[in-house]
Amino acid sequence: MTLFQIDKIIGNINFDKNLRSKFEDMSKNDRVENVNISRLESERIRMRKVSDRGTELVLTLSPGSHLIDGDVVFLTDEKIIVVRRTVEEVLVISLHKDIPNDRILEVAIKIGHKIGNMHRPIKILGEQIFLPIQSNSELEVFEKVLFSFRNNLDISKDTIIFEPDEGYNIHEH
Amino acid sequence: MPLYKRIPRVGIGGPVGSGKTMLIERIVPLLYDKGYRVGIISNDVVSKEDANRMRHNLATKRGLLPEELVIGIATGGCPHTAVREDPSMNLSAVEEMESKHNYLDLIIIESGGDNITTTFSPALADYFIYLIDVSGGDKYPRKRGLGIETCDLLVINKIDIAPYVEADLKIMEKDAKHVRGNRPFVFVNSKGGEGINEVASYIIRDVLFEAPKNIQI
Repeated sequence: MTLFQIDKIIGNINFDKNLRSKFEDMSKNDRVENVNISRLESERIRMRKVSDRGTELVLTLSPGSHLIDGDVVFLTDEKIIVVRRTVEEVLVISLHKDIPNDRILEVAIKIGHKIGNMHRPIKILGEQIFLPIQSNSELEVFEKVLFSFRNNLDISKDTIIFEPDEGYNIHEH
Repeated sequence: MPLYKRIPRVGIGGPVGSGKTMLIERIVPLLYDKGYRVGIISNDVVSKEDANRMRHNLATKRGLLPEELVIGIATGGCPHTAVREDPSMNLSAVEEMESKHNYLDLIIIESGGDNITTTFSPALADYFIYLIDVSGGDKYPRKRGLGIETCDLLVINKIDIAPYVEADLKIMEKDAKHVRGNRPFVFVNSKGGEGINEVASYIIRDVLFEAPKNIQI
């Protein structure tokens, strides 16, 4: 079996129009292969992976590289290999819009403090905070941890491609 | 960007007493036999006992590697913080090893004994081996935890004592398969040597990419 060595990310089909058009043309001709990458793997620069069609890849990317959904790691006229980030379960903490102005700062900072104590990466979209969980039981954990704010927020679960906000990943300082 | 090449790194974590140090003492000679040169960084909370033991057993006694290729780090607080939240102490030790011993093929980083949520920062380790041992009971794999679920290779150690602690290896095998999907796990007896070759083979395949000795991909 051929082992493809990948040392750089060529571009991303979601941001590069030329690559997108090439990807769409090659999709019609059944020349697309996907390689599934988890969030933890997306931060690695050295790993061995197998595409959905059995192509073996060894990735040796430069330090600081970060794989995201849609990244193209291999491209010839015959084959395009695209990174697909796997989905994962997250908690969605939705802050109520009617929190009084004189309480917003307190609620936001205390929620941030509690999530920080649980060592979670976060993503914030509007009034919603997203954070990854490992099991259903963590919904209950966070309901307890955030009990004192039960009148200011709702907690639910979702399954998404989770990408932490820059600088708010678990190991960044 | 450092001027020297980046050396592949394997992180090894697991609870206190699961056998991390002995696993390293078993793997390193196998890798040296195959021509791969390895440096070791060993974390512990307050002592450097594990590093001193490995230095004695692998370097002083057997002469497999120079003594300065086993570095001990006393991390202070929770062991996982030094390999996950703030790996700066370990990164400095790795960079020092890379600058002084750039001919190395692999650096093994041993975490201090910790709980089942231990993982390694991707900035520190390219590959994460998590160890448990059968004395914790055959329930261990199905109880999950970040380390057991997300590691690249799960090692279930001390299978030789399974009958004495009433741990059913078939249950552990079934649960490990269920929890880990198609990601690998290995039953190991570090004392007797069972499974050690398999662990070394995973490292050679998935981290060293089966590169011929001293020729790094």
